[in-house]
Amino acid sequence: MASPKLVVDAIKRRCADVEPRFDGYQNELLKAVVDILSRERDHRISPTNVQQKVQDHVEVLGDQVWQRSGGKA
Amino acid sequence: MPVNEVVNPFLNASLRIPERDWPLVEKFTTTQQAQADPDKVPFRRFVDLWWAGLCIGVREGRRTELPPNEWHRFNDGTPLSTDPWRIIHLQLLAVGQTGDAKILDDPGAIIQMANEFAATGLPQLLEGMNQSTEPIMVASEFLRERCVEPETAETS
Amino acid sequence: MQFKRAHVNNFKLLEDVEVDFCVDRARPLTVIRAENASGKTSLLTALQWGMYGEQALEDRAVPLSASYWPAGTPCHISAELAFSHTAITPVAGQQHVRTRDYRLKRTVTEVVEGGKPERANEQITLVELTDQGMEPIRTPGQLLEQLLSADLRHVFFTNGDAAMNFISPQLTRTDKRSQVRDAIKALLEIGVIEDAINHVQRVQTSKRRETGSVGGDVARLAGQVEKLTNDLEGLEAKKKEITDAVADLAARHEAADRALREALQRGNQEDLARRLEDVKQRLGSAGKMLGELNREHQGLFNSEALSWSLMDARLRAGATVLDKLHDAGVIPKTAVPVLRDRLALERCICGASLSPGTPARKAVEDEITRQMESDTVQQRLTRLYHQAQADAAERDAGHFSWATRLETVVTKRTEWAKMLREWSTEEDSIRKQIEAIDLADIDDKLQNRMAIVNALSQKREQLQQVSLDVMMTRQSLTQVREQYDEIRKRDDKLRRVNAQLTATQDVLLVLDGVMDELQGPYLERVSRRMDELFRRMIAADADLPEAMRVITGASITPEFDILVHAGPRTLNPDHELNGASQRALTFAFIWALTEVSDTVAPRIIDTPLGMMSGYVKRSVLDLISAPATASEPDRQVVLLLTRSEIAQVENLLDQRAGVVFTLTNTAAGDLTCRQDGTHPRILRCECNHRQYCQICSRLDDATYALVPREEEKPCP
Repeated sequence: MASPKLVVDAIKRRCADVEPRFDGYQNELLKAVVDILSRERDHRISPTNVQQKVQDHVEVLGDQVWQRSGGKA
Repeated sequence: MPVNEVVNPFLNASLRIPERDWPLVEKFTTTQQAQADPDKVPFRRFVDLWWAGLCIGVREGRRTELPPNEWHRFNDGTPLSTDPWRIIHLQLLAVGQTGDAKILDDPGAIIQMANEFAATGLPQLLEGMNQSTEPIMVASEFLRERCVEPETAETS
Repeated sequence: MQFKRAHVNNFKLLEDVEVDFCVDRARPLTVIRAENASGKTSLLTALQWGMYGEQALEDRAVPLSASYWPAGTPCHISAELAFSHTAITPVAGQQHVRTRDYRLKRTVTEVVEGGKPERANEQITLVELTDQGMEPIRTPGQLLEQLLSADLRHVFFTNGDAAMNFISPQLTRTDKRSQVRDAIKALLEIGVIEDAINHVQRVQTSKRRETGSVGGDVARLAGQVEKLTNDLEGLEAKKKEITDAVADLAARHEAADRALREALQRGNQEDLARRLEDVKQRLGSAGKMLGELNREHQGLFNSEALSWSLMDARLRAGATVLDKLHDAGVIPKTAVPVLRDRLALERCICGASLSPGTPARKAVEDEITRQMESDTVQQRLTRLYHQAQADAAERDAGHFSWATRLETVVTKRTEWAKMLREWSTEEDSIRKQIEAIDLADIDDKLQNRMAIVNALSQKREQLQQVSLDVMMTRQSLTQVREQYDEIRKRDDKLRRVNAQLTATQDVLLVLDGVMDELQGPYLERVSRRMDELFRRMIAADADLPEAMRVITGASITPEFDILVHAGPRTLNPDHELNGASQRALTFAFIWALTEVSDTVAPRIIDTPLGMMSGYVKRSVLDLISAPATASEPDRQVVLLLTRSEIAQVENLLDQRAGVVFTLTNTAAGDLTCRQDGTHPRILRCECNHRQYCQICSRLDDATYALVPREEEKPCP
């Protein structure tokens, strides 16, 4: 089940409030959060290595910050 | 009336009641039951109960004569001194009954007369009290029914 | 998601029962008429078990097979469900709508030994019905969880009585808050978000450690940040625990206060003691007075008045004799004491002077001498005469009236005796009231209240302390973080890890913000919708101005308490709402949850209209069975109703129910026809809410004005 619309709307609003580390950062952040929640939902249905998956998503986002922000973050 | 002005001529007389009535006389007087409830034991002394019997007997105008062995002597005339008016009333009664003041010379006869009147009145009074749980009320009503009140010019 | 059909085999008394559901948009209601013990709860459980398996069972130790099933004999139990799901997916700026049909079957074999069930060989099959035939779904659990999460079970499969737990007085305030919070959390995926926050925090910790592994100030500060973060988490958890405990104790304090007040009100001890003392004093005075009157009464029996009242005639007769003697001169006219008095006064009764030397004085002195020389009888006679005169005069003046004295005394005695009786009754009454005060009970309640007050005071103190600790730790953490961030910026080696840490913190920020929003504004939405629905359900006085209405609304607090409002006052739904309103409130809450969640799934409710009648019943049914508007997704509502629930709302069911049928337990005691069979089972018939037939006819059908659905036949 996808997140309720309200949850997605709330994620969008919060992402819009975050400091843009680079152009398009807020969209990438939104995608990362939505993906993380999907992994959590999957984990509830069928156990997975959700911690690692969450870390992977965060690191991917972080690497984008590292590469695209010139190391200013 | 000052006690010391009334001489009791009946000191040596014998106050008597019928022997058969003695148990109930004892029952309804406090002489030997000082803490008794007045409602159940209305009369303080034997002489009080004897006098009430006497009054009833006089009211009915009847004397009861009994053989000597059927009398119970409960006291001499000493108790009469406590209420001097009783002495006066006995004397008036005797004079009124005989129509002659000479009776006053025979205190024994006066007391005998009183005993015989009491012997008339006592059984009725005792029987009434003995049949009730409220002897004082029964005695009160019994006596009240027989009272004669003077007609006075003023009504209070 | 919409249910189409279900088929249950050997689930309790549902031996072989087919159930179909209405999918008509205009008439979204399915009514399953069933009396108590006719399979309603079993059907509700069977549907949930079919979808979720064992986790849907309230008590796994209870057999699923019927009690008549022989012990030790395998029972094959199954639940089949045909349903559809419509997915609305945004793509390329448009809404893509696709409906798929599925068929689910769950089976298990159960053997019961010694009352304990052993279930084995559980299988679940889920297929999609396509144009090409049946396509099996490899992970049925996952799909079902996506379509209708098991967390939402209680909201969409509702037992009318169990739903009352949201406001049940049997639960503590903390438990009720948990129920409300859990229901909201389930709908909003708050659990998922909490898990995500937890996992991202661990990533954060790990990244901090990585920065710390580089050494130096960064390591030190990273370590401090981690420690302070852990400390803060611990303190906040402790604070929450203490806050909940304080709320619980406050509720218990209120309850203890109320219990104590009630116990004390049963007897105001001080007032009763004062009144008892007062009446005892009065009784004492009455007793004394009656004692005196008794003695006065007794005194009447030796009074002169009695003698005169009974012997008046005789005494006067005596006095008359003496009068004659007096007239004859036998009794001196005047007695010696009187003569002596006259001499002392020097004045005769006739007025003549008796001064010394006067002839009159000499005559009186001679008379005194003569009388004193007379005999005692004479003297006695004289005294008697004079006394009789005096007494008769008093008697005539009314001083010797025994009856009057008796009447006076008896009247007083009667009056005082009456007062004594009345005051004795009053004393008895007061003593009974005092006895009714269960001192031990009051003492217990006092002690209990004191214990709670002490505990509450301690907890509040602890809360203050931990709140202070939280504040101080937060301040320290902020300071250290600032230092740490500053140092990180300067260290090139850490750039990548720092970037990842930054990303982690941003993700956490978003997730925390979403949580706040869900628990704040979203909760407010549920609260507002619940309030709207509740007021519509119970608005019997809708025509009245706002100021005249008793109940003005309901709300959910940020602490997840459900409150009912009566103007400015808050009512306690446990004690200050009637049964119908409590139920309406429960449904308003559940309905609000399902509406605000945007989850589209059938809403199945067992006995929703119990304890309701009249307007409330109609308005609740009206609300929950209303068709979807054009902009809303299809709605499906399934109600399991008894005859008495259906009474008075038949017309509404006529309009809204697309499918109605009846389930009957063949072992019910009030059936008019007995069915063939060696054991009880649930049978379905096509009777709607206005009909009866041979299968479902009951003795009280006439009460509900039911008509025969088919030509009447003799019972089998």
